[in-house]
Amino acid sequence: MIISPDRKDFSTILNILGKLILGLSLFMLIPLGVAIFKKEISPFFDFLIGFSASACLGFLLVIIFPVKKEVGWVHAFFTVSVGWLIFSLLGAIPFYFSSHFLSFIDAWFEAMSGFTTTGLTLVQDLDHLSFSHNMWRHLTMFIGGQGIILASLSILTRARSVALGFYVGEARQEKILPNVIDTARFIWKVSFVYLILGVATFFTILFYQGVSVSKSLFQALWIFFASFDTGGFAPQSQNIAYYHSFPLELATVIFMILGATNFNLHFWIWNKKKSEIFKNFEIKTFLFTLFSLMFILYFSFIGFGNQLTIFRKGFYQLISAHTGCGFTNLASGELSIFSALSLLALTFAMMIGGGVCSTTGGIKLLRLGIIFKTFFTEIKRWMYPFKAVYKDRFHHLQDLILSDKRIKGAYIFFAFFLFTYALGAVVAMCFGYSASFSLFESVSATANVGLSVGLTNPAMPLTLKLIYMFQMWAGRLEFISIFVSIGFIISLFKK
Amino acid sequence: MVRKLIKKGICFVCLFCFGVSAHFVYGASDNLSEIFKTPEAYDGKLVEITGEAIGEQLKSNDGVWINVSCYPEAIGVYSSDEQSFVSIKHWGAYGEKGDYVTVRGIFYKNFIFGGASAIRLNSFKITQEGGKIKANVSLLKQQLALILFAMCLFLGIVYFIKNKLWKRNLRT
Repeated sequence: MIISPDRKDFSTILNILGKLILGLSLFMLIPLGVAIFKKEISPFFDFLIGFSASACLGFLLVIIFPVKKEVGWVHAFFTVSVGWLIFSLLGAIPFYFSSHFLSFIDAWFEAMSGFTTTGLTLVQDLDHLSFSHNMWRHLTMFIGGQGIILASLSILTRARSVALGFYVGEARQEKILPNVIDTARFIWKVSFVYLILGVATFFTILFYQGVSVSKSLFQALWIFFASFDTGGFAPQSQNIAYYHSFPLELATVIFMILGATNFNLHFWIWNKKKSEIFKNFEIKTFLFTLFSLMFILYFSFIGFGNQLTIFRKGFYQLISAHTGCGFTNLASGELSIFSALSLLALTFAMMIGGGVCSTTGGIKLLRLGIIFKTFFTEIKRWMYPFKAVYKDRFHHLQDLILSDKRIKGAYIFFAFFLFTYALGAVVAMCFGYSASFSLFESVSATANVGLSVGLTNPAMPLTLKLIYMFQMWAGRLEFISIFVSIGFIISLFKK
Repeated sequence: MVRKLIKKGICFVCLFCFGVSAHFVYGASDNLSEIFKTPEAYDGKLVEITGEAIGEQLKSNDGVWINVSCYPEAIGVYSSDEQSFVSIKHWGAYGEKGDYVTVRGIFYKNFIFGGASAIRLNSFKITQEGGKIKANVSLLKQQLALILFAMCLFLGIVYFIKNKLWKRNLRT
C-alpha cells in the first residue's frame, strides 16, 4: 500500500529543502570571496544576487514550513530529486548574469552539468570568463560529486535517523561505515587528502610551465575538482589541450581513476587490507573492460600515428570516458572525425562508468561485472548435471554469493540506463543528427561524462537541451529517487 | 655576360616568389574551423591564422607554446625558440583583450609530441594590440543585488528570532 502524502509531508519536505538551500547559498560565498580577492566587480554582483536569492528562498521555506512529521525514506527521496533540480536552478543565477550564456536555459544546463559532474558545456567565450565564475563552475562539480545532500548531511548532526534515505537517494548503494554520517565524513576526509595531493601536483606542473603563482593555484584546484570528481570542466575552451603538457595529462589520468574508484575500496586500502585492490571484483572488471576497449581502440588507430599519438589521442580519451570524467586533450571537433570503431569503443566506455559509491555515472562496474558473471554462470549451469545446485561467488570487499537479488538489481539498473541512452539518441536523431553522434552524446549526458562530438553547443535545439538536462539529472540520481518522487506526486491524485 | 646573369637572377627571384606565394595560396587559411574539419588536407602544410593570443605563454617540450583563439576554435602554436613570443604584451583573459596575432607555420594533424593538432611556428606578427576591457555593471544588476541582499538580511533576522522564540517555548 502506498501512503498518500498530505500537507504535513510537504511541509516537512519543504523545510528540509529550505535548510539544504541555505547550505547551497553558503557555498556561493566562496566564489563571492574570489570575486572580491580578484577585484572582479561585475561577477561580485552576480554572486551577491545568487547568494541572496538562494538564502531568501531558504529562509522563506524554513520560516513558513515547519517540520511536522518524522522524516522518512519517501521524504528523503523526494527531497533529493527535487533538491537537485532546485540547486541547479539557483546555481544557474550567477552564470546567467555573467553574459556568457545565451539564455537562462543555457545557464541552467551549465549548472546541471556541473552539479551532476557531467562536463557538457554551453558557455560562450570561456577564455574570457572571470575567475569567480570559473570557481563556481568547478565548485559545482565538487559539491555534486560529493553529493549535495551528503555534503549537508555531514555537517548536520540531527539528521542521523534519515541520513540513509538521502544517501541512497543520491545513488550510493554501499555504506562504508555502519553510520551514514560517519560514511559521509569519511568520503570528505578522503577527498580532502586527495585534494591536497592533487592541488600540489597540478600546481607544480603549471608553475613549471610558467603560469603565475595565483593562477597556477586556482587552476590546479579546478583541474583537481574536475578530475577527482570526474566532472570534466576546464578553465579554458581547449580543455586539457590548452596546456600541451604530457605530465599534466598523466596526472589527470591518476586522479580520474582515483575518483572513479569506489570510496569503499579507498576505505579498505587505507584502513584495512591493501591486498583488496588485487582481489576486488570492480577492479578486475575495470581492468578487463579497459584493456578490451584499449585493444579495439588500438586497432582503430593503426596508421593514425606513432605510439605516443595513440596514447595521447586514443587512450587518454578512453580513460576519460571510462572514468566518466570527460577531459579531452583533442582540438575542437577532433573527436567527430574519429573512426566509427573508435567512437564505438568510447561510447561503450562511457556506458560502463566507474565504481559504485564513486563520483562517476553510468551502469557501473559492479553491475556490469555481475551481468558478465551471470552470463557465464548460466552457461556453466547448462553444462552441469541436471540436479546439481550451483552458486557462483565474487569478491567485493568480502566473498559474496551471486544471489538472484543482486542479479535482479544489476539488470534493472542496466535496463534503465540502456533505455535512457536510447531515449536521448532517438530524440537527437529526430533533429537530423547521425545515429553514432546521437548515441555518443546521449550516453555522454546520461553517464555524466561530458565528452562531445559537437552536438552540445548553444545553437542546439531547446528540446535537446532539456532532454540532456533530464538525462544528466536522472543518470546522476540513478532513477530510483526520481521514480519514487513521481509515485509520490501521482499518489496525490489518487486520494 | 653580366646582363644575362642579372636576367637569370631576376627570373629566378620571380619564379621563387611566385612559387612561394602559390604555396601560400594552397596552404593558407584564415578559417580554423575549416582546418579542423579536414585536417588531412592541411597536414604538414603551411597555414596562416589570425586570432587572439589567450591565457599565457607556456613552457613545454623544450620550447614554448601559445594558444590562439579564432573564436569559437582555438589552437596551440609551438616554437622551439623561447623568445619567439616576447613581443606579446596582452593575453586574452577576463577583463583583458589579448593581442591579435597572425601566425604562419606548419600545421600538424598529429603533432610531433603527440596531443592535439597544432601549428609549428615559422613566423608571426602582432596585427592589433589588445588591452584592458572596461567592466560595466548595469544599474539594474546593482539595485537587484542590493534589494535581494537586504531581503536576505531581513529574513535571516526573522528566522533567528523565530528560532530563539521556539527554543524558549520548548524550555518553558
